Amino acid sequence: MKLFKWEKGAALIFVFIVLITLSAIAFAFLTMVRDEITTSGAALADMQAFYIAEAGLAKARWALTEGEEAAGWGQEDISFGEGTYTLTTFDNGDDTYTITSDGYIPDDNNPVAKRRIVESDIPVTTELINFSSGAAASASSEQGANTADHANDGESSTKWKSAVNNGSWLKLAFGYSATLDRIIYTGNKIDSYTIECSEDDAVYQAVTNPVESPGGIVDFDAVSARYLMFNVNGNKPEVNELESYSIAGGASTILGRGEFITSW
Amino acid sequence: MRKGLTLIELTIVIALFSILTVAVFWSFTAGLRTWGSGKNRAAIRQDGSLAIQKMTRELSQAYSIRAANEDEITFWADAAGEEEISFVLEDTALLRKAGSIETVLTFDAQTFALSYRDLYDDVMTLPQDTASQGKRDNIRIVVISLNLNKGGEAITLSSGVYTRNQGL
Repeated sequence: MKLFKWEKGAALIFVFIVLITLSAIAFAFLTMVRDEITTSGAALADMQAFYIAEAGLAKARWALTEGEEAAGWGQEDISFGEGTYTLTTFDNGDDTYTITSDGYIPDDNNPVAKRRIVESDIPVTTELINFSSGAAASASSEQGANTADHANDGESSTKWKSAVNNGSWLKLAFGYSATLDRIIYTGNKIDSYTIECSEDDAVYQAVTNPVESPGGIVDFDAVSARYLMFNVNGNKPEVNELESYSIAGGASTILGRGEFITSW
Repeated sequence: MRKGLTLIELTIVIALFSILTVAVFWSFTAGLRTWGSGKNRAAIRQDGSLAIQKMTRELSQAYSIRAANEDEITFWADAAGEEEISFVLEDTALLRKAGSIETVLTFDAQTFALSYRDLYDDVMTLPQDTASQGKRDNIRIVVISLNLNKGGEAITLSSGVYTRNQGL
């Protein structure tokens, strides 16, 4: 049995059917590609929102530490880049804080993208900062394994030991300008010492009015320093730890690392 | 009935095929165009994400900021200054320089703008507020704005970094 009866003009109808089918396929394909583009556009906005939320997180960390804001502090609709962020901080009551930052593109009224970053359970401590930790240590001489970096490694069991007797020095480079008014040293065979500070590693000036208390605590007039020089005399003197502080600056709030949760 | 095609039949066939060809060509070029822009979008997305992520991570570890301009920042990643890192825009290439090693973060950066906030969260005026090391030590938050453009697809990414180790 024949499906078509090839009469005059049937080819025209056949060609039309093929044409319409092809057009439908092409249209469907275009729609798919366009959707894909829209989706990737949304992904771009989403990424923008994410990094704006990160900026909010950075702001909150600044506010809680150097900004000296208490937990519970927050900000709404802060314009940033292409969007805005809103952030809240929360005291969990167990010496941990939680920071929530929402990034919006273009704003929180009609957002095309929203990303939330929560940093939860951040351990909070307030303590005097020991500037020495993290500083680069060097010395006039070192004996064997007792290298200069042992003097600021936070381990009282390790030490820096000079290879010579008098005229030895231990130097700490902070990498930034710190305000100092106290050092604490622990060591052995130190007959005498002087403390010098410098901003440029070229001109060193002795600290003024140093007063030593038991435990190797030396207080002096506040001085800003990028470099701290501890000059020691003795029979191959040793320094276990050389700590440096700013007592007048008071204790600082230190935020640890919390758990990161990001959500859309 | 004669065998073969009449002129009218031939004209109709040619007209139909022309329409078909135009339709196919049109959808093909349109598809190609969208494919291209999709590819560019994916590229700036990937590059931008990678670049800003690397910059925010490394800047948050900055010990000391050695140079702070509108389109360039140099900082020490350690206290001793043995690892000095710069982010700088050259033409449309955003570079990360660490010593003699140069890495291209993206080739498609149109603008790379930095601004700085001090310890009171006030915006610092460039260049005078970052002219000396003592002034640069006051930098606390670095705000990055990076605009990428590839083949007409553009995105601006902004983020802020709290340089935790700077001037403890």
